[in-house]
Amino acid sequence: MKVIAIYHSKGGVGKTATAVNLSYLSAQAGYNTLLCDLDPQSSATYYFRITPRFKSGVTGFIKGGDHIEKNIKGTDFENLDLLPADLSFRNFDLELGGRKHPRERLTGILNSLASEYDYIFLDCPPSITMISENIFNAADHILIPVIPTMLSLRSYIQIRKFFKKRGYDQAKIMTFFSMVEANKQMHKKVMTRMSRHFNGIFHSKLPFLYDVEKMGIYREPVAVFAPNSLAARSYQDLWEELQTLL
Amino acid sequence: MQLYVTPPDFDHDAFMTALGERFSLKTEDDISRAQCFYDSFDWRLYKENLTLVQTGKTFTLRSLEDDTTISSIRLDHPLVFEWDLPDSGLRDKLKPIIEMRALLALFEITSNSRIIRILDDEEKTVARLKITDSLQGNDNRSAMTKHISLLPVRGYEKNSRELADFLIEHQFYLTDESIYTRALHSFGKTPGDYSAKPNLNFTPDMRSDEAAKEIYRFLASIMRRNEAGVKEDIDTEYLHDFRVSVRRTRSALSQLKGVFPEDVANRYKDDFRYIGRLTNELRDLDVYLLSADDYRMMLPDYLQADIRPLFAFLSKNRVSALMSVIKGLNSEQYSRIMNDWEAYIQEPPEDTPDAANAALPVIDLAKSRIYKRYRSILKEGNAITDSSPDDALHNLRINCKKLRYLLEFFSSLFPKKEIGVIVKQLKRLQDNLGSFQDLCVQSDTLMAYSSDPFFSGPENHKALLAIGCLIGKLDVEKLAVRNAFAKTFEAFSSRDNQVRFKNLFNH
Repeated sequence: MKVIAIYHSKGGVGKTATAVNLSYLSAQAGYNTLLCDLDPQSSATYYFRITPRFKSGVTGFIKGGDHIEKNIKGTDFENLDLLPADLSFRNFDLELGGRKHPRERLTGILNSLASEYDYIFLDCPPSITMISENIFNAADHILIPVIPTMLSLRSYIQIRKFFKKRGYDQAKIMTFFSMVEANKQMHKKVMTRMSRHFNGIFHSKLPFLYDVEKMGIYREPVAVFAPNSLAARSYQDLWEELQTLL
Repeated sequence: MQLYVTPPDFDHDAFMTALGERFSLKTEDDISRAQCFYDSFDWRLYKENLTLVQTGKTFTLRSLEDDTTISSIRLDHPLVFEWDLPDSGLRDKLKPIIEMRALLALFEITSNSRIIRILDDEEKTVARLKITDSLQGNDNRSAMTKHISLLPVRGYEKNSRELADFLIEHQFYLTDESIYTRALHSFGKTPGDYSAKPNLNFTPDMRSDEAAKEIYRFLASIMRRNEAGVKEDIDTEYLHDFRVSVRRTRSALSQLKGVFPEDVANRYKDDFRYIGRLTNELRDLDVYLLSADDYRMMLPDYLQADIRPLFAFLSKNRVSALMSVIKGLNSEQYSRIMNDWEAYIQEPPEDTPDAANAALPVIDLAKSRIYKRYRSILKEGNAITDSSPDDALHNLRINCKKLRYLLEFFSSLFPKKEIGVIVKQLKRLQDNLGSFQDLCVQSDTLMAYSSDPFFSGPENHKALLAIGCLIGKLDVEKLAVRNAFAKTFEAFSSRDNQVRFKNLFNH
């Protein structure tokens, strides 16, 4: 089992769409896949038409074991299950604070699923808090979507610095450009600069596409309602590049 | 999955109307599809409660227990070996189970069905019903009549229960037979009907010659069942099982002394040695080619590609080795040996046999042979020191193998648990000795290969370098295995184990 977190401290960078589409492609490739929606906004859960409710709430989630098993839902697609988010997930830090090893809880919770799943994708809430640190510990790979703008670059550097300061393994970080607008000079400049400065940035880029936004209307992965679209192809490329690194 | 048989007066339209009044539905298009089911010759998937199904270009590994999909993949080419698959969930799951075995088509069925999805308020699928109108085998026999499968979705068990209640209300009844077992049955196949491991049942007072003939009949049948697969070169394990049966036969002929008349035993000892030799070269090459990846991994990165000519050379040799095996198995000599032998072991034992041990109760024969073999292993093993020649370990290995065969033949005569413990310990020792032997043979053969004219050209200069490097690696490993021998043998020759052998076989 490998755990892949789709993470960024900023919101609106395409995390959920990436998590939904990559987990779908992983399932299509024959891997038993679980998408774990950790974001109290529960958008990934919404995309799969599943009720955003985690029985026993955030407290149950942190206890793990049976609480997790009981909440797993089958999606409409083969090999793909989802662990729904709950509004109470906004209190992760509060719940974690009072426990032993507050930064390693998620690692244990996910390890109990090792025999069931080949890949677990985490759709992460935008923050750098205790739950994020749990994610940094539990994930084998941390996939960061970066919109090539100065602001996004700035928070990307912040994340890197945080990793260094707290001793998290920077080798886990994998980066790709998201919502790229090829006709914007600014995007091009930022991408060139970043590719020069950081190692391991993906060749595949996700363009800014209306089809990705349409996921909210269809409530399905892009490849289901627009299989031949550029969006579907872009996620496929991203998945294939990711797969070579897993 | 739950399988329901439709009531005799089933009215499809009325059923659909009633279903639609109770649940929110989405009916998918009718699908007519052919499904082909696969397994290896020795039923490896079935033994793990699995089956592999091909529908069009999609291969799906399914659980036979609850018919859930474990993994699936689309392929544009045929699937025979696990290495035909790209890196995928399916490959990860199949590889440790089927290993080097080929997947064979068991049977093919054509079905006509449609899926009805049960939806909730969010139009999320919470359960599926699959209505199958007909199931037809490729021999045109009907494998199964109309039926309905209920496919639950995880986390929506309540909805499945509601649906199950609805089906029962409408006179459907649940059956625990799966489509797989029903189809297998109608094709006249018995799952799990092949295993090369002896599974014999003797009573203690059975005559030794009678028991021996039963052992030989089992071994000969395994040889026969593998002949076609060897000749068609389906995978390497047909030959392997064939050879193990030859070796077991030879070992029994020499170990069960005085059970058959001496001239009979001597004739067949020679004959089976001949058959064994016939296949040596091919098996050696198979072993090398099967471990090609391991060899590559032993080399430093920059030499890994350079070992390729060695495998090209081995593959080339394998073609002629296979030809000579096929020729051998088609030869008159081979069929004379096998026919004579089968006729002999089919004959009922003589009333007043000449051979000294023929009428001995099999329990006595088994005990004395096993105990004697054990004593000789102890003596030989204890004499081995760090300075003993390699040959001493080889001889011990052969001795252990003989003991292992005896234990396999006669296990039914002794308490299962005790035999299990003994075999487990013996196996550990055999693994150590076997690895040592393999490493010795491998470096010797690599040395011999390297002087073949094939490698004399300048283009194979680096291949020679890689072979040399490999020999070096094998040598290091050989030393490690040899160093582990003393400890392994100590465990096998422990006081406890000696007592165990004595209690079981010497009283």
